[in-house]
Amino acid sequence: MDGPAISIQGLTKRFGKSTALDALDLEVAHGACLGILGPAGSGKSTLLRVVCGLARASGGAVTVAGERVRAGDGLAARRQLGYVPQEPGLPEWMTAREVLAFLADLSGVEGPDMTPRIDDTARQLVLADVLDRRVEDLPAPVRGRLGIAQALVADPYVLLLDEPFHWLDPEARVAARALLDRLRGRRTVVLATHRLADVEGLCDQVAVLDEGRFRFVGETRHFLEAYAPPVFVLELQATGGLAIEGVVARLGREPWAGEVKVIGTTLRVAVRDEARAARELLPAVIGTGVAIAGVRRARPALDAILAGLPPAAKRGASA
Amino acid sequence: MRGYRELLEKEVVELWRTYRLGLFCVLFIVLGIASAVITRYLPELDRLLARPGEDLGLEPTGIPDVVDFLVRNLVDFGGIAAILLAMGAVAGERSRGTTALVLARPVSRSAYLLAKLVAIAMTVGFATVLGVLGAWLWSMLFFELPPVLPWAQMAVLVWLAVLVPASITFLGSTVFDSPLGAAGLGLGAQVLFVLASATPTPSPLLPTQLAAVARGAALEGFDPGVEPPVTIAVAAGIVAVSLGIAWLRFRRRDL
Repeated sequence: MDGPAISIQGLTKRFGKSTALDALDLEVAHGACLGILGPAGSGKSTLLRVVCGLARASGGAVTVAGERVRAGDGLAARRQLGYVPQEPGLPEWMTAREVLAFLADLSGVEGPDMTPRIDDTARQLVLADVLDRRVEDLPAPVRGRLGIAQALVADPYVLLLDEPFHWLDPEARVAARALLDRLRGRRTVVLATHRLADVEGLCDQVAVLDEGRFRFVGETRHFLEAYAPPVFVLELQATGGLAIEGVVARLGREPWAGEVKVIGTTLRVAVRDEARAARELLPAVIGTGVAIAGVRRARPALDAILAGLPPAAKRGASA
Repeated sequence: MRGYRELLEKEVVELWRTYRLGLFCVLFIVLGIASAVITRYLPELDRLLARPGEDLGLEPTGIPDVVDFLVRNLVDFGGIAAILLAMGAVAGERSRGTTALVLARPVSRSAYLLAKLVAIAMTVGFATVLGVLGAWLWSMLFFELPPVLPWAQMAVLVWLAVLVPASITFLGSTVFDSPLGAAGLGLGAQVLFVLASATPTPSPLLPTQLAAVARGAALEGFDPGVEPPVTIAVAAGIVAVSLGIAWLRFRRRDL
């Protein structure tokens, strides 16, 4: 297929006087995995709903695999799409198998292909044991998996996921991430989330959406390095203020360490060189005589990342 | 109309599995049988309630009384049941998120709407046939064999009369976010029609006159002032216009 998998040009969406999406431009290449990262109310869900033809654009144009998307029309574009809404409204009275069969049927999956598709999708999302149970009897994490399965069952060319991991338990989250990882390069995936952890390690591109505008569009690796450097969080064993001040002073002399924040007995250490910090942080702290109760690697909070991003959206961005 | 067959199948199975089809049919059967039974035993009930030796001057009841009772019951109670059936058709499914799940697929919005209204019409039609059949069988037991073709015509007209509030409520279901708003529109329209027809000579343009047309069809004779073609055309027009406006509204709606 020529051209990008998804092309968004000057996309604007208004609700009355408020502008939810403000002249967005974006191109998503075939086989890319793009994370749309933004806080609640930033316009992520609206953007996905416009792309899959559920909401009407106030201005601009969207194409999927070269086909123009139009709300209430544009069936050719929707043939290419699989969509996982934030809260999939699965018919409660159907069994999981019936949900998958019904929605695959609507997507044009023909008779002989149906059963293998359903079984294969269910196996990949660990749903095989619950296929014959009614949706109303399934716990929320299993429904979350079924919500992802319904989008995958027709093997769509472009997959749009709106906070897909929200309802999942840790085990299902790992399974779903692994499944999306296997689609890399073969299918185009767009994942909207407010959690940086969802994007990291899964999406090779990221678009940061804030108040209806893109604040960053580019490679995830570059974004993490430039705007979301890792933070090491250390839980120190209860100790005196002087001892903690000693740790802060010690870390302040290290070239690989950035800002150090102290909250009670917790230290948040921003790092400039992650590899060196991983090797030298613990020996440096232990060297001051302070005992460590726990340590973990984290990323800055989303609002802190947004505060550090350039304010204006860039037009003509591509991912 | 891509997806119409699959969506209609889903609607019918949903109506069955969620017991709405069954409850609707049971209601109509009970109303149908009760019309014949009550008509048969009403004079005796009146006599039981009268003071000893009092002559109430009651005339014997018959098929025309069953028809009167049946048509009124099915149109009034059936109409309210149809409003309850149609109120959540679109609004309820939309608020649960199922509409988005379905319409993100290559399915036309007109197919989505038509499948829902056809499923409601089928439910009303099936229940009406059973209700009229129940009344017909019990009338045969209590009175005489009612004529088949006129009763079949009556069933079709009752179906259309019940479909009018159902289609107005269905329109409300596409306009309002809440099923209660949809029910309000359906009930409001019913009240308006009833108030407008509360005159000595109701206009044949009112869909409430379908009850008189249905009665006349079953008894093979229409009351003066009843104009079947006009009333039927107006009622069918209301159903068609409701669907048309629903489609115009729904095709532009954000989901």
